[in-house]
Amino acid sequence: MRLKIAFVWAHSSTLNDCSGSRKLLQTDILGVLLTRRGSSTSITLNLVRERDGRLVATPLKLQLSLADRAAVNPSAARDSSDDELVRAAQSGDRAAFGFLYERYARMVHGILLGRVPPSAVEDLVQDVFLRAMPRINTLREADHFGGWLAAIARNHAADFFRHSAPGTAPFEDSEDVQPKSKGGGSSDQEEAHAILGAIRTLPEAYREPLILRLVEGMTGPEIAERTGLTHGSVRVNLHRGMQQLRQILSGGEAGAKSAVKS
Amino acid sequence: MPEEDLINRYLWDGSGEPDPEVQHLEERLVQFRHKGEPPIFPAAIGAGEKFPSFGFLQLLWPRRLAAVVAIAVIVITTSFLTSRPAPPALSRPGWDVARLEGAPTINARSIQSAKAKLEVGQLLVTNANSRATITVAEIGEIQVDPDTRVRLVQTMRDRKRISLEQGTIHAAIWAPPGEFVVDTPSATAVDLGCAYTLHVAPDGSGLLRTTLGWVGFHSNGRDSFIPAGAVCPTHRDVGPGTPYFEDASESFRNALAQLDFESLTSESHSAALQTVLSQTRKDDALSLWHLLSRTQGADREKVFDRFVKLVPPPNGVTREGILRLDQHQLDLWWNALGLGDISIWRFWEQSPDRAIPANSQLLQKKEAMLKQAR
Repeated sequence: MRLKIAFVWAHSSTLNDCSGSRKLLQTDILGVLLTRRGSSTSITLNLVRERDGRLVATPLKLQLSLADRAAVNPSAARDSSDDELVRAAQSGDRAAFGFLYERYARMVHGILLGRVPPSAVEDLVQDVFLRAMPRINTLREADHFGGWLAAIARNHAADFFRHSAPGTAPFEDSEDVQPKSKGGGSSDQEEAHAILGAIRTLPEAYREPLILRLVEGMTGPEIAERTGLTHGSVRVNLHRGMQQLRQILSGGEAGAKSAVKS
Repeated sequence: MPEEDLINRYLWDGSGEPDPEVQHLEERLVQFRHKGEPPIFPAAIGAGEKFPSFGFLQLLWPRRLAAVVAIAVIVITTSFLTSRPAPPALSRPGWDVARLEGAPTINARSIQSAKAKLEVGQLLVTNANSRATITVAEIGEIQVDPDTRVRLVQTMRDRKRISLEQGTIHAAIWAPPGEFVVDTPSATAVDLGCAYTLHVAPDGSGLLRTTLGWVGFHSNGRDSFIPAGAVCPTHRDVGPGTPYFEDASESFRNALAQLDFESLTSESHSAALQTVLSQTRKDDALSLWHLLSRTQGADREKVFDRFVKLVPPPNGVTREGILRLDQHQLDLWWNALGLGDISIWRFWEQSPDRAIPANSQLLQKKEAMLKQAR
């Protein structure tokens, strides 16, 4: 990993946090030379100062947090494994949690979209992450993050209806998710809502992967990786879900009922 | 056949023959796709500590929080409007100046006290007997030598600019790269994380000497990069010359100066180039890299042939690419010198206001640009 002094300068809080040398930098230190070779988690700086008319350098090794590494090389930090990001987040690294958000927001969004009115989903996605963040220390297996987060999302969707007005049901409170026939000259917008409504009538096992694939644009392998399911079960559920969706969309209400019963 | 094998490839991973029905569904449903911004996560806490509970945020976020903020704004604004005193006189932005010796002046007024302020647009002048120090916001310090004229052009959060009309300054800057810029009559010096000395002669020519880090020197599309230990002359109407390390041989330096700034016959041009190539040490690859884009035809090939012996071209760099001055390949080869990452410069060069924002967007832009370049 090539570390750039410029970015270290740009994020001088790094120096301040790691060594408390900010004051030193701004008074005694003429400059900082970066040792070109560094590991991915540390950086060695040479603090340059004037002594008896000569420039002398004092090496200073700094440990880089994931946020620091993101500052130096964002793609490398962003590409860190779930395990690494989760552990960094557990140690209080907010940037790591931000990367987890980037990686899992679509999954959470898809799960919620299958359960609550579309107009409420974006807010609830934020709620899920804000709910997960302070609890991340309770997650023992870092590689189970996806499944853990998905469970929080499902619970949060259930809470949404618990706190909603009495009688509010997942699919009956919103006109825009009622399954409708594809035909009938409806506009693209109406058709989109009809398709989403149809998907939401499917069993949960089919609904989630189908929304993640068709709405969120995730691939099957990606769905499996994020949700913690096996490739096989995602394949089967996508296949069956698609079959049932076809029946609903081609047969209207009757097709929907018979498809779900089957 | 197992059921899981029945799924079409397009539905599985988007590969294979597109399924029109799936495509149609995707097109219709894309409007529901996640496009929200990440929430503002609570500030990170100390390593190893557990996160505090942010339950109150969950209750407030985001609509209730917005309502609370709106009410707070109304209350604060109302109280401010009803109780605020007369507004103070507007103060123009500026930097502190400390008199070191003699009597420097700001806009022809002598600095009487130990400290004064150099405001935007004002000119600081030292005579043969005076010196001063300028504190550059919170990002650095400039020592102003005798017989120098410096004007403060701009001071903003991420952009600081002065004009060195004549004389000598010593700058030590700890700002993000590209934030501190010095205009001279013949070139613009862009700090890339360093300390340096810049001299401007009465005829507008200049010399930049880098002590730490590196500096970009730019004029009329001609760029020079000067790492620590190197110098770069600049001439009016030409711009920055070829930088060289100060311990290069005298004949090498003289030949470079001829190539950069003199009108030479083809014979004398060839002779000067031959001198440069024959005198080149490994460290002088710095100069040869610059000469690649400042020579043409057979001369460029000669420079390439010498350069390749000093610094092996990294992956992705070819003779053909360099000879046609492929910028990406030139940049890769520059980076192989280990003197600084040229992508920082490219950002400065391409940003509309010639400033590099010191935030993560810079990094995102950098990544995007590098991907595009690949």
